[in-house]
Amino acid sequence: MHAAAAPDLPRAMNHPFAGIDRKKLGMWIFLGSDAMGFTGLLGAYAVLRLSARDHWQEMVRDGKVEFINMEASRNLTFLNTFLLICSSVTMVLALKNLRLGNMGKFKVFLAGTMLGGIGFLSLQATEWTHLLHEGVTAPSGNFGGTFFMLTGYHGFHVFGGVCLLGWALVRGMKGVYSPQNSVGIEVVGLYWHFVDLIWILLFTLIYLLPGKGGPA
Amino acid sequence: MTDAATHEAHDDHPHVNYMAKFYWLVGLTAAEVGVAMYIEGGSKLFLLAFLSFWKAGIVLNHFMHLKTENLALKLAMAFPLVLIVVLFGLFTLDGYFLNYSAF
Repeated sequence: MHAAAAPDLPRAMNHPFAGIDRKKLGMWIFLGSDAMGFTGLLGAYAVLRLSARDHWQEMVRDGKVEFINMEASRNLTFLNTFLLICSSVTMVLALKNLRLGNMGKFKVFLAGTMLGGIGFLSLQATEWTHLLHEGVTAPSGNFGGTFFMLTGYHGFHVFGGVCLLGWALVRGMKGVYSPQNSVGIEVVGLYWHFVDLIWILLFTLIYLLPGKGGPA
Repeated sequence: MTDAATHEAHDDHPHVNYMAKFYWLVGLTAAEVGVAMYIEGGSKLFLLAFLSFWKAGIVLNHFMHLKTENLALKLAMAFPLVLIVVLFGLFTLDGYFLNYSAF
């Protein structure tokens, strides 16, 4: 082998991200780009909502303009937000216990996180069903369109997170993870916390800042 | 940098009291709901934004451990954050002035 072809290892190891595991770095980069995707959708929401002025939370049904009451939906979402916060804490406790070598607690907390995600999706399905019965659909107006797009896109991320957690749990049961090999769980945790982070913004924008024109 | 980085058998963040952070998140969420129900006007938007960013900061710093990460990673993540703020600001301005496009 030619001497000049050998990689300059000391220089390669000296780049700014040298101390970070590449799986973790990859997940951070993915989350940065994914956040831009959410920004595009939230930006569209901002444009449509602000330009609608006082007619935001409305839909047209049978030729009549009706106010969309989000009261019942909002109460369900309070519970959903609490579930997601709980699952974020169980996720970080799973990682902590894995690193401390408490393998039993690690699996229990990881399973708890997954159950939290499933609970979130179930409640969201209930909320969607209720709204669809009320006649709020994606084509019913800009409110319906942005609501289902934003919560659906987020829900899709939660579904992905639940699948990822299930996969991690199976690997955890097989003994793949250990205090010396916890990066995989840290990466899954980063994704799960990001899902929680996005929900914090969606919860405020969609549910806590209702449109004018009705009792909600 | 290795694909399967190894760690010592200890918690990297032993100083973080996660249950305290959980109580903060629940408390801030309750405060948000209170603001949404009882406060009207411009201060409502300001307070809700403040509480949301506070919650997001707790998740980012303590659950995602960004606080204890490498400075290069923090800076790399600050870049999309700046882009997000600028982009969202532009969208908001666009939406606000859309009704005045006749001018």
